[in-house]
Amino acid sequence: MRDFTRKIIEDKVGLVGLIGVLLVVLLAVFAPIIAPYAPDKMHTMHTMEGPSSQFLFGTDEFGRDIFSRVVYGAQVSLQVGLIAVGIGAFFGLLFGLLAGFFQGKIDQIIMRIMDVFFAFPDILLALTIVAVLGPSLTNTMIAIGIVFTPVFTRLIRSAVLTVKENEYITNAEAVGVSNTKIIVKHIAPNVMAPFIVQITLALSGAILTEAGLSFLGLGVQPPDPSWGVMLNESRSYMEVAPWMMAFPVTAIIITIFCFNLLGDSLRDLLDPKLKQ
Amino acid sequence: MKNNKILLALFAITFMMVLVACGGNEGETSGETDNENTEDTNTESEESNEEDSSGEQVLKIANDQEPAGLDPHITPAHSSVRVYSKIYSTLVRFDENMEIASDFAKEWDWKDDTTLVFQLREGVKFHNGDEVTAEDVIYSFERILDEETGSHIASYLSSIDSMEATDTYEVTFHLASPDATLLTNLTNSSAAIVSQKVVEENGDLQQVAVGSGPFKLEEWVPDNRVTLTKNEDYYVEGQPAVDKLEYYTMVEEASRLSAVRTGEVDMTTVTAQSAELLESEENVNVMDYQSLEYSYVGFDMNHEILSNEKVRQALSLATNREAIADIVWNGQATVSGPIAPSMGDWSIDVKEHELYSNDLDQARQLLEEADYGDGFEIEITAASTYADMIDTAQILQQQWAEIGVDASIKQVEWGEYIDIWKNTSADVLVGRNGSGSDPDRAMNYFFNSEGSANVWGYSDEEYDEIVTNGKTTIDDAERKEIYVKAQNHLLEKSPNLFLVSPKNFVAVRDSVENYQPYPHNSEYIVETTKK
Repeated sequence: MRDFTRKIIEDKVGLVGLIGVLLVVLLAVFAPIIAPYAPDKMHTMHTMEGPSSQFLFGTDEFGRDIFSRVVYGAQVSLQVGLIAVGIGAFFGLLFGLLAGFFQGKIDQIIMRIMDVFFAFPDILLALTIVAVLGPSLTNTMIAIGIVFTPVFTRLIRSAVLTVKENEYITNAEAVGVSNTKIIVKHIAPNVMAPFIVQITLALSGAILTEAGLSFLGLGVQPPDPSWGVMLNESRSYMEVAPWMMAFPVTAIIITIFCFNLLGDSLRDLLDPKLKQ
Repeated sequence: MKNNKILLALFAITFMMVLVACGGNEGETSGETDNENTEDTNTESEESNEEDSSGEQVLKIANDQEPAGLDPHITPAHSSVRVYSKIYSTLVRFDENMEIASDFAKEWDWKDDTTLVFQLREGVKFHNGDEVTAEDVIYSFERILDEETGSHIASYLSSIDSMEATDTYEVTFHLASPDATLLTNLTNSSAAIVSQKVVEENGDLQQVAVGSGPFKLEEWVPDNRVTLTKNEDYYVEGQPAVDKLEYYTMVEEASRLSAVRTGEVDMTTVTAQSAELLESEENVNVMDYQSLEYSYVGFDMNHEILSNEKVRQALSLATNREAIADIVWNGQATVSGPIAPSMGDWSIDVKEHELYSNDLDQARQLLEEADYGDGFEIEITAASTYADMIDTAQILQQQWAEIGVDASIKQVEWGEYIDIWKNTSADVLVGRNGSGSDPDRAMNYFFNSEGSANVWGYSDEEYDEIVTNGKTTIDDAERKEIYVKAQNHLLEKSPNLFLVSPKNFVAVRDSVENYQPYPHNSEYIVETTKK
């Protein structure tokens, strides 16, 4: 672990990603302390003002402080990212292990269902699920979780297939170790590397999908601050109040970029083939 | 290894830049296509200008929505109305003071309370050359009243018992009961006179249009434009003044804004915020008019909590309508009751009403009396396609929180919104209504327990009696008194909270002359000319 930390610090690109991600996390955790105002507080005397010392990022059409909303938006983004990816990762791990280990019919059934989900573009599938469940924060997380399940399932399954060929698994089977024990003790720990990398990469995808759904009015509902919602609201005022759009967009770009940098760097570090 | 990663990072950055650039390009390209289209037509019209030494005048208007079809009897969408109202004639119309004036009917006469005789213009021709006679008038109204047609204005003409052609150019209407709203209803563009032959040849009139109005349909290019040409034989001397009318479909506010700035189009509707932007523009004037619309909050009258009159009154008191006008409409809206202020002396001064006083103490007290002193939770539904509805919902949420009402907001897509409206499947619904050109629509159509647009489950015998009386009373002064009573009654019961009536804005290039928008006809362009 210490070795790992040292490596990631040595890797400049990964470090930038890591710092960026940590900053977003800090922003989200300490939002109530960092943000000068409540995110939905309307300062009706200060509607659509440009950035100033009182309102760092300016205000929107209701006179809400954009800086505070961007800060609280980080909370929403992280929450959606973590829970949605958590759902996808959990079911992906479960199905992937089952399909990869038992193969045969179980494998066929699970993987064909996953193929069906895979056939739809991410955002379309998420849109459909939200349309059926109704738009809300919880449903957005569930939808994104479902969308991400097949990716994890495929990844874990193929990793399991490789691990399963190892002699220690055959040995364990030969001496009569139970299937459950083999899966939990011997296979699961050995598929963790690609799993962790996929989680980091999926996080940025989930954050982006949430912003997209909220932009379309199907994700987080106003007045809750989400970067996607803020973008949607800024659309009609693009020319009059460009700051309403600029800051949430920057927040989205930086966050996604940092998560991706971290993910890429982790992949290189954890990939046994690239180990020297 | 390291180099690889730096390369990767560089690649990532380049990729993002390309993405950003692509995104930008997309917008530009679509703008360019618009440009190209109009440039094409520009050159065309310039060419035709050269051919035609008298100088053909073409008026170009940007439309925010594609026409949904052109059949006047069954298509209520505004994007359609603005086109077919130029093609078809109606018996009567509103003049600039919203008084009934002659159109295809030369004059009319009430023989008694239930008999109305129209004298028609002689020698008027449909665009296909056939003469328009009393038979066509009768056919048109019978088509509207026929249930199979499914006309949205059938109820406007419901008082008609029978019609007869008493002469080639004279129609007599026999009514089942006195109806003060009939003449006003006949000014509606949907009460258009159509040709039986054309309907029978085509099945319906969604794709074809043969009327007797000031313009003829020349071409409809879907998702692009509708072109109308001048009807040389139009019965009003000197109208229309322009030779050609072109409607371009531009859904995005931004593209309409740039089109009017660059002169691609001569006029377009814009929002209050854009209107402000255009103030500094030299060649564009912004005209405004008070619309006949108002925004409202509708309550499900069968809801456990909202069925309590005191709760609704408390919410009305907690609502600061001026703040909504300021924030949502940029100050360009007037506080309104069920009849919009632009209806003149039909509407009462709602600002004087007790429930419009925004008295929070009284609101809390009313909630206390209704046993909801600690407040309650409620869901507000609004259409995500209309920014003004979402904004209104957010302000209401803040304002109602002051008296302890905890509201959440649900935004739904337009199709779903219409379903919710029809089935009253929302506790609280934010929306906009057109109060029409006669108070009967605002009061009867929306709130009579039998009214075709009363989706709220509001049922009040006393109220029904008042508004039915209003429809059948002929005397104007008496009618006004009745509607004052009806409005006060409705405000008191608050089945809906009426909020504000917005101003509408039209951006017009200074090459356009003799144009003036009216609340009842924002596109009165038959006298309009171009420099």
